[in-house]
Amino acid sequence: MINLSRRLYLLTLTFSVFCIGLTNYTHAQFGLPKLPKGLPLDLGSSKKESTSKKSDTDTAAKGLSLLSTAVSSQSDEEEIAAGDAVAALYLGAAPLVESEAVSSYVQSLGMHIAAQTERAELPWAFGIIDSPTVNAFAAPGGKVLLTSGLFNMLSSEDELASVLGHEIAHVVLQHHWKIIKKQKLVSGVADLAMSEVDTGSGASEAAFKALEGIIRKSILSGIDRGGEFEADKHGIRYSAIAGYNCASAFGVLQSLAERAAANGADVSFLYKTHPTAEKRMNELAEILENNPSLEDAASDSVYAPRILEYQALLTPTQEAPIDGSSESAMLSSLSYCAVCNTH
Amino acid sequence: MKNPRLIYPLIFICSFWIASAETTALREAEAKRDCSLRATPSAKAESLGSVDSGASLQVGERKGLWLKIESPSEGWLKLTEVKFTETSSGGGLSGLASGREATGNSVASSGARGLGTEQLETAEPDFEELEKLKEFESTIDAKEFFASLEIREISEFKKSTRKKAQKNKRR
Repeated sequence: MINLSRRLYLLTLTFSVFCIGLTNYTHAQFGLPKLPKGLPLDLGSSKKESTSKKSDTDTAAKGLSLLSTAVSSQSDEEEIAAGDAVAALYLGAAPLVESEAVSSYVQSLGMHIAAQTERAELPWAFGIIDSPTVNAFAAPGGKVLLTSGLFNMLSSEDELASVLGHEIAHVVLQHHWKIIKKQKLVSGVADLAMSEVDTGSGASEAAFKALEGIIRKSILSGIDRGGEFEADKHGIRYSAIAGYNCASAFGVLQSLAERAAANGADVSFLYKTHPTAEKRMNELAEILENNPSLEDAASDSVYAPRILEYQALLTPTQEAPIDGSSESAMLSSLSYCAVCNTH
Repeated sequence: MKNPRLIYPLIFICSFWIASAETTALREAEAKRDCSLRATPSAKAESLGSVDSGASLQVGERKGLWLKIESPSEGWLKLTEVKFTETSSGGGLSGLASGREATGNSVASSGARGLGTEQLETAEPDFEELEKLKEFESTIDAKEFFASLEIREISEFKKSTRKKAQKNKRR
């Protein structure tokens, strides 16, 4: 004879399977995105749970939680695929710089800051693209690109941390993804095409085909002013948590303001999609005024001058690429007196 | 020079010194409220006199959260006491500086090599380069590289901060 808990378990299991079937049926019928492959729906482990002394209520709650996780990870997968398509477009406009040392530097610093955020688990990747334009781009899902023009403009590692913090904040707060997602839903065709995009290899190509018009438009328009101020605000918090100077964002904005005041073409696209540097500085000052705890994080880190070593490596690659051995030799000699007089 | 290898650290020190030299251009600003000019960048420093709310200022270098005021008289004010004037929107970039309203004005780096509207409008995605980015593995040992950084606890922002600030502005 089957006891009560066993019956309840079977009932819960049947209900869960019914729900999954219904969800997939609904998605197929109404063109909603498919559930991704490899969902964490391990029914075997549910069975193990039920044979333990955990209550049946727990089992039912777990079933619902698994479904909720499934919907969340499905959304993440879609965001990542669309973001990869965005990043591919930027990379089509300007390739990555060749210096492995500089790429490692930006990748490591970006990962260090991203690890302090609420979305540390995203597949983050950070790179520098070869362009004298001063700008940085965040693609949904965690791909962040800085131009070599911006990288060379910075005067400390803390300033680089503040730039990365700003871009990371765009990703964490899903600024660009929200715009793309909204436009996708408005366009039934794009939404239907995106629902056919599978995860795994080829997802970014398929996402680009599905969303090309929306992606191009969103890149050229940028996000609204409020989003940029919000990214500044959260960006300084992330870089401060990571151990850097939260006031270094002012240094970056001062440099931008100086270039803009000189009518520099290198910042014109950035100014098209961002509020003026003065407005951003004034907003940041308000943030600091209202959050005195940030004031304790307003001095440069010991690593502030370290960026100069890497800028020295990057500058020659604009004109004449240097090979790996000469790059290592240069880094080795320059790093001698960088911070602690050791290699 | 007896040891020519010594030239490398010397060059690096010199380049760092040159790079860190004060080259900050003066910026237009105004005082947000009545405040005291300080002799050094510290709230505890000697007061050199007062500045009235709305007074025009010429701002020079920044040290942490303090700004060097060059005019009408020299001294230091806290960054939160100063409001920058928008000078960069008055030149050739005017009309571009207003975020989304400017959408559609294709003026970015025309004629110059760079990454602007024209390049992004016509660019084709490079998925090989994307794979390079995704598969790139840093050669840096992060644990050692960031060893001296102190991970801080900084509380999340209160949701009402911005709204409060906007309300205050309206008043």
